Amino acid sequence: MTATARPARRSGWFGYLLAAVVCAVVVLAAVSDPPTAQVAQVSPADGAALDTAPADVVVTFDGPAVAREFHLSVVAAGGGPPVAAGPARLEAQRMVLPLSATPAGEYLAAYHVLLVDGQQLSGFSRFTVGTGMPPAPASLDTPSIVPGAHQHGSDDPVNLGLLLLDLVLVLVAAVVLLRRPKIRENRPWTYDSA
Amino acid sequence: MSLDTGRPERVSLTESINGRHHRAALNLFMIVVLAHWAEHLTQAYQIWVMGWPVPESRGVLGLAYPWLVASEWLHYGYALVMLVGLWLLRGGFVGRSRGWWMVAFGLQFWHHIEHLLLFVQAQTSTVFFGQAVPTSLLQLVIPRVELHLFYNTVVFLPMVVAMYLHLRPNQAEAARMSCSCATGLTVAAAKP
Repeated sequence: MTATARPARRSGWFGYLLAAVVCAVVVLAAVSDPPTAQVAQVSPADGAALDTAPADVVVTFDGPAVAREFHLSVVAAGGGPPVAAGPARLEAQRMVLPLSATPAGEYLAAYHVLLVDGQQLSGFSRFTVGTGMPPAPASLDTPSIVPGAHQHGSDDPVNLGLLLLDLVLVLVAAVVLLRRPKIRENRPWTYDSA
Repeated sequence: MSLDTGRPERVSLTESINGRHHRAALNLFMIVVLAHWAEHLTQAYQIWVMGWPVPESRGVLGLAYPWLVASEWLHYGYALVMLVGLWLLRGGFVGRSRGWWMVAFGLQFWHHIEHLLLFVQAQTSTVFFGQAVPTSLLQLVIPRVELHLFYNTVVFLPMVVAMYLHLRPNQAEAARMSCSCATGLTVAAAKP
């Protein structure tokens, strides 16, 4: 009896793995479609007149807020030194910015959250501390986002360098695709892997 | 003994993609890849040439659909398309181009794992590694934007080299090619 020659089996295991990953993703998406969180409350509330300075500013969501980026900052309405005692932190259902001792005056808290589903939440709250008066009505030029409070994307030189390299590669790829394929003559110094 | 049924031999989808449709499939795949780069380069143009604020610089699609740019679905979907495309089209590559193509595939495999981590966190409303936002492994040491631009670059570089070598093969490689890219291959005019 002679062994039957069988064609070499092509390595298809990775194809099956890929198919499994795709199926898993579809199932994951089907069973877990997280609802988009909304802002339920901001503390101090917009228009609040406080006797004493709050320990922190808190933005509370109506559900888990899984964010790609988030920003929360507080500035004195008339300018002045930063009043945050540390960076903002995002907890399960709230975003917290601890405050340092804030002198009497009017303050503007602004937040911006970029959720992982691409939705954005932003807003602000104006409040006073120790003045006995509510904040002045918001004017049309009140910034919805405190300047410098957030930064998406990147404009640093590393990115620029990578993008310039990518531009060259895109042009090379386009030329290679558009030109007619040719056999290159073997030259003495050419590496031949065949 | 095999019976000659008179019917043409059945060709699987993979064999077809890597055979008589390889050039078309490769072109289609590259259109997707180049469109992705066009978005990134447009965004860079908006930032560096037009002087737009970074948050407003969202490429072309992002201007019409701002949520799309930040959607974890989009980022994961593109990573998956890249991985599947690199895997499906590998069969047509021979010789040196095959090596470069598989380098791109290997790098994209890891890139995809990173995106999968982000995607799972987004879909399950959980965050890993004690971070405040969904984070991938290397994102623990490199910011997300820079990291993924680097990933995309190091995957694209060997892809371009592979395509160049595939569409400009030497004679030995050309003899081994069985895909449609070999159709009409001519010998480049020898330099004096």
